Amino acid sequence: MKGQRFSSLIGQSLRRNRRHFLLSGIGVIIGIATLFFFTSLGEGVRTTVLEDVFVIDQLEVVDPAAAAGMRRGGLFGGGGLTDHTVEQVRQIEGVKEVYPKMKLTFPSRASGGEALMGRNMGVEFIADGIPAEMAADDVSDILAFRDHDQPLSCADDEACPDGRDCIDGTCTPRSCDPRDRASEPCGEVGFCDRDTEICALPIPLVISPYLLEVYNGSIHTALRDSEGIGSRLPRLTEDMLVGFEFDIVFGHSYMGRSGDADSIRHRARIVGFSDRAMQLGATMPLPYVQRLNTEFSGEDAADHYHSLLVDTYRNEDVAPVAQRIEDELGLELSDRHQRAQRAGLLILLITLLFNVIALVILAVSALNITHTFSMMVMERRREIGLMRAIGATRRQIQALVVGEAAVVGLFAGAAGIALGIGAGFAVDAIFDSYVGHFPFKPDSLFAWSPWMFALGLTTAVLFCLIGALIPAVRAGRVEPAAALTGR
Amino acid sequence: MDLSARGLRRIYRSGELTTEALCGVDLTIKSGEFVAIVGSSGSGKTTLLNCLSGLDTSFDGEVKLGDLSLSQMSETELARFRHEHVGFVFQQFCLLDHLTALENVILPGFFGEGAGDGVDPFKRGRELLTRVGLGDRLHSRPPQLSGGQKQRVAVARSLFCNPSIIFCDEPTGSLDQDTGLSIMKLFEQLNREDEVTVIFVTHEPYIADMARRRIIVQDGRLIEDKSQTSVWPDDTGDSDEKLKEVAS
Ligand SMILES: Nc1ncnc2c1ncn2[C@@H]1O[C@H](COP(=O)(O)OP(=O)(O)O)[C@@H](O)[C@H]1O
Ligand SMILES: [Mg+2]
Repeated sequence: MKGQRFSSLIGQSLRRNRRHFLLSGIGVIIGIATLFFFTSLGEGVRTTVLEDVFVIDQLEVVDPAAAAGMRRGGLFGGGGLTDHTVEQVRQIEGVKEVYPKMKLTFPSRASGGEALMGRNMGVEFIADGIPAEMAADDVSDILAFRDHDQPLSCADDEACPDGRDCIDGTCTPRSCDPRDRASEPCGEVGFCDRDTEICALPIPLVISPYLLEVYNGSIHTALRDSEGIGSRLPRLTEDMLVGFEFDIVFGHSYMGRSGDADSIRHRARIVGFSDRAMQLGATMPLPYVQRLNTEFSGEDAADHYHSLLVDTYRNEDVAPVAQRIEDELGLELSDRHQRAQRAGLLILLITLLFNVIALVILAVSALNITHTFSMMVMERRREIGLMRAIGATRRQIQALVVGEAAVVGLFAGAAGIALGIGAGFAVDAIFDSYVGHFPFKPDSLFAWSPWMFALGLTTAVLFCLIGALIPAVRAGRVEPAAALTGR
Repeated sequence: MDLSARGLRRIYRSGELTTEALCGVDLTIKSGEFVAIVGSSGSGKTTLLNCLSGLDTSFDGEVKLGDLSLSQMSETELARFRHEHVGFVFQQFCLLDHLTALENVILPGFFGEGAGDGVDPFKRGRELLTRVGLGDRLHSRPPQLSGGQKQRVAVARSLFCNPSIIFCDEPTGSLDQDTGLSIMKLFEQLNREDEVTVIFVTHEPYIADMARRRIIVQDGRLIEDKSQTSVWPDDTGDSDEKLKEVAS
């Protein structure tokens, strides 16, 4: 039987038995809609949780001694994370780049905020440093994210940042009068340092989007209806914060002070938002942290990193790289990675559970298809007998029934997918209007990808085919002589 | 090609009950014959026809068309045999109601070679319908057609694959007398002009009279088999018949 004639026969039969086929397909439509709905929901939630909350494609190596709460160089003599460790990790296959991170090892505080919050506030300041190139792409401010105290070579004044002149091929800070507020001698982003009376540039900081989410989703929401200044706190956006400046006092905080040196006040400026920034704090270019740690905690502190961020070439490399970091180098991964894996697993399990329900619905509808198709085969016994009389083989008759089931499956699958998407949109809309903002609230709870459409269609067809198997065999067994004489 | 049966026996078994519908039939029908199989109800006419036409091969004995022995064919070969060599016309027409007359006629083409390679099935279908007098009802569906018209569609369908034999089981059984007669005329014409062998079953003597050979079956045996001159009632002129068909 040639394909084209075959499909036209199926088409004719489907058109005639529209209602039957619709009825038999409804179960499949519901089953596929369920399957599609929960698969895309699970995938959507997983993506949000893993990629935004836990940033799973990024590994963070921590110093095992430090992680265990012991001082570096203690019992295990691990020596912490040094440039040597960075080099070792970099050698692992699949590793694209390793970025060392170092925390400030002494107390500090930040103050300011009038421009944003309506009044000045002071908070503990927690920060770490990362190689400047890690966040370079995330910065949109006129103040670049790099070490501005590093001498810059130049050809003319144009090549130097604000408040610096090109002298003998090096950008040199201008001297200035801190009481002169009118002439802006230090340019747009520079400021006149009160103690040294020369122009300086603020320390560039990047902030984690997570922090903003936590502020907007939790702190702001919690304080919104409270009494006192909390209720007047604005909702913040990235745009509002980029370019925002405040003061940091290094070496002295509300909780403690550093014994080694006097505190230093310095200006800082938020220059962008980056996933690479620490989640509850601020992140500056590494050299600042190294210099500050040397000054407040001694030379030794500047050689030891607190963690290493590991970028892999592909997402699939994450697991094996993690394994080798732990097994071969004896290093530890931050528990964020483990939490991410656990969360991912949990979401996967829940998704699977609902998909099992979908499969049960589909199994029931396959039975329904068996029933309807058997009925149709009975009704069409005479017709099948005639087809056999005029030359149809058993196989052709079977193929006809199976083909009809496949087409029903395709249509039901497509309808089920459409229904699943529709339900997704509805849930998104309801979710959007009834659930307030919370950290990492996604635009959509669902993630629809091409493989789900393929899965939906194949599953639908598969279950229809399974359902039609017995009726097809029965149709093939129809004896033409008996069927035509009505026995 | 001649059709022959040797020692043909057919026993129906359903549970305890066995019915011997054919008990040893020997028969040869030559190519181009116009044969009536007659007998009372339950005498075994349909069974005989089914065994001869390859619809039913659960018989003992042998049925051959030329050198082809039906009992030795596989299911697939039998289907092919029916497709290529024989045409069927049934009392109940057996048309597919959801298809047009034309689609019904070309239906055999869906399952095999049809009229042969390079033949446009729709063109052939139109020619056949025109030949049986339904050139203007190509796209009507069976429910819109009269009994006689339906049977004409069935005849056109039976001719689609150029069969050498047409088997008709009570082709006039569902038609009134005049319409039945016109269908019989169609068969006679096909037999005469195209030399198609026509074997039909009837229990009405006056229809049997139109054949040139009459076989009488009783209790599964041939009790008479003789040639005869065909007798056509002369009170049914062509114009008359057309009128009645239009009216019905
Ligand atoms: N499929 C069958 N199962 C059981 N008995 C049958 C079957 N077909 C026919 N018979 C029996 O075989 C005999 C001949 O039937 P049939 O060939 O249909 O007769 P006719 O066509 O002459 O009326 C009858 O007694 C009938 O009851
Ligand atoms: Mg009969």
